[in-house]
Amino acid sequence: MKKIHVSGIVLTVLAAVQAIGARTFLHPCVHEDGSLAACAGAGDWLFGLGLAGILLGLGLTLLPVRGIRLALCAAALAWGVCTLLAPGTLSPICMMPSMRCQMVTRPGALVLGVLILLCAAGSLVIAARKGKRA
Amino acid sequence: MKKRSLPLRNLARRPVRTALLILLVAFQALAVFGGSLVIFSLRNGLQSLENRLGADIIVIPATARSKVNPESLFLQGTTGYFYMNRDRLEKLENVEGIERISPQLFLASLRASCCSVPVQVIGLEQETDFVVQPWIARSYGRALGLKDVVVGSRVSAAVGESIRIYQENCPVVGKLDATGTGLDTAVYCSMETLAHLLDAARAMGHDLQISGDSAAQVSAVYLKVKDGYDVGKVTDDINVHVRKVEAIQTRNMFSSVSDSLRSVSSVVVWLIAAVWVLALMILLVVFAMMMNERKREFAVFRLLGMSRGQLGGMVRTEAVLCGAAGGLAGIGLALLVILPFSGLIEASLGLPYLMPGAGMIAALGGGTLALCILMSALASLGAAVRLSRVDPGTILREGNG
Repeated sequence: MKKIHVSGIVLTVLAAVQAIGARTFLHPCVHEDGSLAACAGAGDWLFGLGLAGILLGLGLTLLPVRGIRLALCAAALAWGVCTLLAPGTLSPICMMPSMRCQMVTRPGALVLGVLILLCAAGSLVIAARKGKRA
Repeated sequence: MKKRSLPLRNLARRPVRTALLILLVAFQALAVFGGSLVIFSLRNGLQSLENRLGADIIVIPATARSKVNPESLFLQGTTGYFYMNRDRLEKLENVEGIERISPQLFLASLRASCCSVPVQVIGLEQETDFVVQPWIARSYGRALGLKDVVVGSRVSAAVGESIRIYQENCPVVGKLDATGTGLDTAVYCSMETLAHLLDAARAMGHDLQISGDSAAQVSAVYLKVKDGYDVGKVTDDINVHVRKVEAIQTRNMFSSVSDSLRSVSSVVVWLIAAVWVLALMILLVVFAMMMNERKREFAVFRLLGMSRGQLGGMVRTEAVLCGAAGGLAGIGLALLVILPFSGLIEASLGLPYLMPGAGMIAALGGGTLALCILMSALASLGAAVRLSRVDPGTILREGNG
């Protein structure tokens, strides 16, 4: 039976939460007239990174080859860093701390980014160790 | 194999069981640390609000309540403006028992650019102000010049930058410490600057409902009552004798906040208690089941020469390791959620919310960790005592039968 890797499943779930969240509960500010706020790009970044993360997570869940797994783990680390940097660095956000993008989107990205980094680092250590033992 | 490394190896050999134990303790730590942090932040916020609003009574126009709730103006940063004629000030000065008196003038800025929000601009009479001036003095030692402003901690402008209010560029000369209230989103300036901004707003066609000279208006008057006088009585005197004003005791404003704080705190405390009792019961059952499952393993250890004390010590060490790992995980998770989302928590609760300092957070974390380790050790104690009483020969014979 094909072995399924738990860390891959966790990363897929985190990626799905990120992609869905960027369009729902983590969405950035929206003006009353429906026009785009300056922080709209941050939401797009999080959504795109979430979709890329789903592919990475599925790859880590199903692919057994060590070299590929190590590369995917490194990519997941980069995904975590990009998630942390998306609101504020990769894309501007609003200035006032009372704005939604500052109160919800950025903290949400921080929590997701840290969890992704922890999970990706764990997967990387496990994949590297398995290679040493083999 | 070294005896010291046995507990670690035992835990590593059963990763799922170990992960579940750690998860359970992490849940306890999350509840205690997260709950305590929220309660401490609320108390800290109330304390800082009491310190910042150093007046006993705030007097506002009688019609102000129809425009904005004064409590939400001070606590939640709701912007608003209301005006009364300056001659009310002289009438208030004649009320018996007043030690200090200082007016303030309010103005709500317009939404300036794509994402900025309106901020409350407050004009202070620098010669008489005893409310904000002591706090301004901490970051700016001089008197505020024309167009100079001092901003609250949550206004995104640094000292040296300028903020644009009604097409007027105002240099930021100081930034105040956080209070965890609506005062953190306010902008403070001199009365002259505010009168200037009021004129600019009126020139832009903004209807402020002021009749006459804007320099002859005030929005609120802050009063300090002389020692020996009853604040409630002075408040009543003002409400009876000075027409078209409403005097509010700041203590009453705080009491509604502290009532809300008390109810939020009691809910959090009960939730923490419920989580702890439940998790402790689960831990006791889990350890009892675990010991039952590992009876043969322990019997072998006894036959290999381990004393009862050493066996009990091994079980306790395993529990302590799980407690420490779970405690650290729970504290880390709580910090990861509560620190970044503090703005959202403050906005949702609608109460003054100010995070304690790093030292206090570290002390809370240390206490929670110690509690988690202690509880895990206690939960394993009963199982360890039971274990020391069993005869290894009988257990191994039972297994073979």
